[in-house]
Amino acid sequence: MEMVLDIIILVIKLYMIALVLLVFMYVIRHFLFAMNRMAGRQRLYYNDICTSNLKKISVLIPMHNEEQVLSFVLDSLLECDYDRDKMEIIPINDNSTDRTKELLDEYHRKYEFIRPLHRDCENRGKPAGLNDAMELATGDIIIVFDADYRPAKDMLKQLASAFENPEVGAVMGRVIPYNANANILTRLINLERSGGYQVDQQARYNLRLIPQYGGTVGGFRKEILRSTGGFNPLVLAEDTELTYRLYTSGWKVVYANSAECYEESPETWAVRAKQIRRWARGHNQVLFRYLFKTIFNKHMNLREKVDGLMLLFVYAVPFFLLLGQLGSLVLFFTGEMNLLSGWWVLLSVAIYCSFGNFAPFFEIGTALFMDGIKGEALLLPLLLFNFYFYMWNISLGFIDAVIDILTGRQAKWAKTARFTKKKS
Amino acid sequence: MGKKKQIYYARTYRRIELDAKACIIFACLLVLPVILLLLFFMDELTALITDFGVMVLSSVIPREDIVVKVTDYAFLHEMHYIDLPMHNPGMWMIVGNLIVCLLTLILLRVFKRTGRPLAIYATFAIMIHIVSCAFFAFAAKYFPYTMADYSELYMKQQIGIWITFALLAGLVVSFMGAKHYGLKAFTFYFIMLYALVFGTIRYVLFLYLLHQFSALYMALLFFVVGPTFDFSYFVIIYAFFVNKTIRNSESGESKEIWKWS
Repeated sequence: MEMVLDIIILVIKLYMIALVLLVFMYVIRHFLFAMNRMAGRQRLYYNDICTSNLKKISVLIPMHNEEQVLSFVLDSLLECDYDRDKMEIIPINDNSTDRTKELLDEYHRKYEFIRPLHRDCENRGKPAGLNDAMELATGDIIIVFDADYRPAKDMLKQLASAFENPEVGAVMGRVIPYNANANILTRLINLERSGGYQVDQQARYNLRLIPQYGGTVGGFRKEILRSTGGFNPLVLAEDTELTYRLYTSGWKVVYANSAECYEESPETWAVRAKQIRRWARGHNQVLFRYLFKTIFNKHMNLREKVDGLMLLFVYAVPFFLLLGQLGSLVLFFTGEMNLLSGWWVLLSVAIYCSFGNFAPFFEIGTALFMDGIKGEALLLPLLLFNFYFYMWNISLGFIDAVIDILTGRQAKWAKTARFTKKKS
Repeated sequence: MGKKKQIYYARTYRRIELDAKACIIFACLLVLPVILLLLFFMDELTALITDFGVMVLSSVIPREDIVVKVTDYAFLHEMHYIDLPMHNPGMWMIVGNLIVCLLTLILLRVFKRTGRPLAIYATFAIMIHIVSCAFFAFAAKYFPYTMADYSELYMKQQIGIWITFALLAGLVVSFMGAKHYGLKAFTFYFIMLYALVFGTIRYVLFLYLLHQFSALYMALLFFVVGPTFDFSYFVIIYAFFVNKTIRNSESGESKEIWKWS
């Protein structure tokens, strides 16, 4: 009995040491990102190219009961500076039960190039909707926006020009919450978004690592998707899946920091919790599918593989940290807290530095500095409580993904609740 | 050529020109003396803390109960810490604590606060305390720590915190923004000073609480307001520093730090 207990304690101690090392690797990675973004030369994509030969684009907007917000995104797109002969807009009305259909048909009557796709089938969800819409799309480039987004006037040109580079398979723009001042939650999300895009994504692009296609405010070559079987409807994070599909096939993803688009952030903790849990579930589904493909891929170089693996595990680490908390409780009550000669605190440092899993505090601080946002930095300490919130909800998402794999359960798509008031 | 009256500084691809050598030298000048002081004057520092602890505690605890112990700590010469009598909780105390924990959990649910960050943090804390209550209810004699063990562990951790803070603070302030070395140095030393004062006061407070209210609260104090809590004030001070740096870099001549490339 005593030997079994000793073995358990040894395993927990080794786990804790491994965890500290793992999280420190993330901390170092993010510190390098922060330094690179702040003081390194910034890598630009082909965003300054002026061409009369614009690529034909199809703008796809998945929608499910979006009567509140659809006019914002469509009106913004109508304002966009892009040759109308070279663009079409396909709003995907995915089994809506509100007035989405009527409103879209009204837009279609006014603008011929807005061609709604009405789906009334059991197979609902963003990936399935995008697959169906791609069958209709006539553009070579697919640009995707969520229904709550408000693209800026030059957005379409900014995104489409990235594809002048023949090695680019997808492009991702910058997401900025437009309701950042709604409450404390949206302000904290704004901080995370700032760190995640202004520093994290741009640094990954600078360093030729893996900028992530985020599923909205971005685009991809239609042919790549069609030739590889379209989006997998069973994967919730179709954006992450596409990123890895592209890199493992030899394509690159461009991060377009200047392509700023405005999104609606969740305004309640319950909605945010569901969103995070869904992201974690989807991201971990991709982890299980692409772990070995990434390690043994011949198209990716070493730095892409290392970054690709760290990115794959980003929604698994909070679960590992949760196990670490339980492990430390066991060590406490078995009198083994003297691990690392009292330098146990290093774990806390590592935890704190990695708060929120999206960006550690110094990375967000750097992003606010780059953005020149005054005042908001004072909210940074609140990330401590956010950390527990994320650790819990992401762990639930991780467990969901494990159950999906073990039981073959199919994930159901769930839309994030909207808070915008309808246009009068 | 005349200057433009108004220049719009696009944020998208701007950066600052950082003199890496100067930053590294500055970081070393900040961090190394503090770490060397901590390492070579550990005896004196921990002795000072225990002296302070004895002075404060002796006003509420009989002086003969307070014992100062000394132990070797790796290559850091010696480390001083305080030992006090500590008792295990009685059954009524355990039951009372369990009831409070359960009531708090119920209240969180009744008032629909369960999914919120503070509630999740509180739930973690409550679960830890429930485990502690269960341990003392069924296996009190196996509780592995005396006050001396805890006190020694705390002091070791505090040393870990100070050294880690020196490294972390040195890194995050030295490379943030351009110049403003005075602000950076002030932030660094303020973090270190606060860490020393906070760590000392919390040490004395924890010892008093454990002496007065039993070992039942040791896990709660350690996990909930222990090391993780230290990083809150670290980030609070850092947040003020970043905010000031942003204001500096967006005004007047300081705008010249921005480069585009």
